[in-house]
Amino acid sequence: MPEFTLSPNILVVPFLITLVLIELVISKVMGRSVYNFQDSITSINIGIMSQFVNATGAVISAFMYAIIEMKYGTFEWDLTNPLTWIFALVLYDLLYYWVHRTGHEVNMFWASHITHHSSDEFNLSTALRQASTGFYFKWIFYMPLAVLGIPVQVFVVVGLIDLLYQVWVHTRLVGRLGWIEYVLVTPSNHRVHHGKNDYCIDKNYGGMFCAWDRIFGTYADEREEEPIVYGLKKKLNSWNPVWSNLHYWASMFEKARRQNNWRDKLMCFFAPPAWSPDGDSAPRPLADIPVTASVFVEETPALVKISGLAMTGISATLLVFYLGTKQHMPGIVQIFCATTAVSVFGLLGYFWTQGNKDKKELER
Amino acid sequence: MSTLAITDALLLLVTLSIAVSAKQSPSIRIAAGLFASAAVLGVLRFSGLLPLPTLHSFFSGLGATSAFPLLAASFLFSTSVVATQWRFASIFAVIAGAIGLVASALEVGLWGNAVALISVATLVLRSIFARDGLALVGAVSLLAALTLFALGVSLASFLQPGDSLHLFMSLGLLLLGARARR
Repeated sequence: MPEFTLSPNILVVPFLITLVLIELVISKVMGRSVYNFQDSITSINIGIMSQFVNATGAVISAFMYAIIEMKYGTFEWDLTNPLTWIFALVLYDLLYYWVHRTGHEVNMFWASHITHHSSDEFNLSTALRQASTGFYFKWIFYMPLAVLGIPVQVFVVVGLIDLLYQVWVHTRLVGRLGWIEYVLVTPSNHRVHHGKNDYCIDKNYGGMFCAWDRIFGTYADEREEEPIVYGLKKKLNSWNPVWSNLHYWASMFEKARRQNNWRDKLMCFFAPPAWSPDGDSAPRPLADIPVTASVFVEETPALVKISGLAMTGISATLLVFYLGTKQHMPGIVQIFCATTAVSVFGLLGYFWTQGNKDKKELER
Repeated sequence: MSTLAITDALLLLVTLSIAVSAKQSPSIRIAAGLFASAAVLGVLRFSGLLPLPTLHSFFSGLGATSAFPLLAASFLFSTSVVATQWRFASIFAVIAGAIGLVASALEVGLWGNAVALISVATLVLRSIFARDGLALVGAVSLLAALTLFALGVSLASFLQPGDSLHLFMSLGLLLLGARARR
């Protein structure tokens, strides 16, 4: 039996799932319907799968950060001084703004981040719907911290604080928060970010502080008169955690394949997501997008529900075990575990999707 | 004060004038801005005002791996989106810089030198084929800057190899900047 080591990221897993359950109970008490069973199960499993992948992928970020900090770290920082941590957090959040903005405005990065936006719901489980493919580029943006010499442990802690802060803003149960709206990212602010209404597109990228959006011109206030519609303009229509990570990559490569010259092929990867070969990069207005109905039956079949719940429990337990023991595993074993997890999620996701589809859709 | 501070100040003047010029394309302005960042840190370092050697070496590396290819792309593909749009010029710079950082982390020590040299050699060839005299002198100056620095050659007994780099780069970028002005 491998030795189990308890670390903060392990405690995060049950903590977040508990938060989801609390929001579910509160929403029931308030008589608000903000949860869709299978959507939430999918979100949680996408989050669990991303942890399997990113726990190994994050090593790349940490490795690069540590090397660059060791080679080029310019200043010494006093870790006992609170200002060091505050400075690091504020700078991290500024860099996060650009990571996030790039994740929306450069197609090959959107291919990763789209996973987080693929739910038609907006609740705490949406916060867990994190991409498994984003680790390959995000580290680049945090290098200024390393060059300034911010120690890797400070980078990890402020990164975790910034990430955890962003969980609670994924809720429809909290309204506007007065003066706080001018300082911090709030649920109202972040609802706009997840909306597909025209005024919501490419707005509110901030992680913790909304100042960056105000400075760089991407801030938008929530409009009470225009209810927000969540999710993607082109519906994902799948409960498969693996497909939710790969569907856009597939369509992006297919789009590139169809182009006649290298310039346009490259543009498919580096231009904004709405780019088309005629040179137009403006997002299509929501009104011009054909309404695509969900292909899923309204009531999730019992078998899908039971397997979804069981899988969530088992995968969360396995994740905790994996995170607690992976530091004693060779890299190749870690990659094997992550690959196995992804394969199982892919297989189950396939059955969930098929089992939940409307018969008419399947016959079509 | 070392002569390196003076020659770096000259390089700073040239690169800054290109970086702030609205008549230059976005890619050339970003490349010049990266060179200027390294130069200002060089001035601070060699004058003894604020020596930040690791930061200077970081930006010098970024200049080699990111700014030189961006400069070459600006001339080779002058109507491309990389040359003409801030967005794509920045993406190019970030990706080239990231590859440079990975190479640095993996101890591929020659990466920066090789990328800079290939970029400048491409500029020389492009200038010859385009029969562009001004750009050719500029590109050859950059080639001389890199070669003399790599070989550790000083132009005069009171100068250091780094001075050759700064002086020839200043001349090269001045000429290329003049050539590229829209």
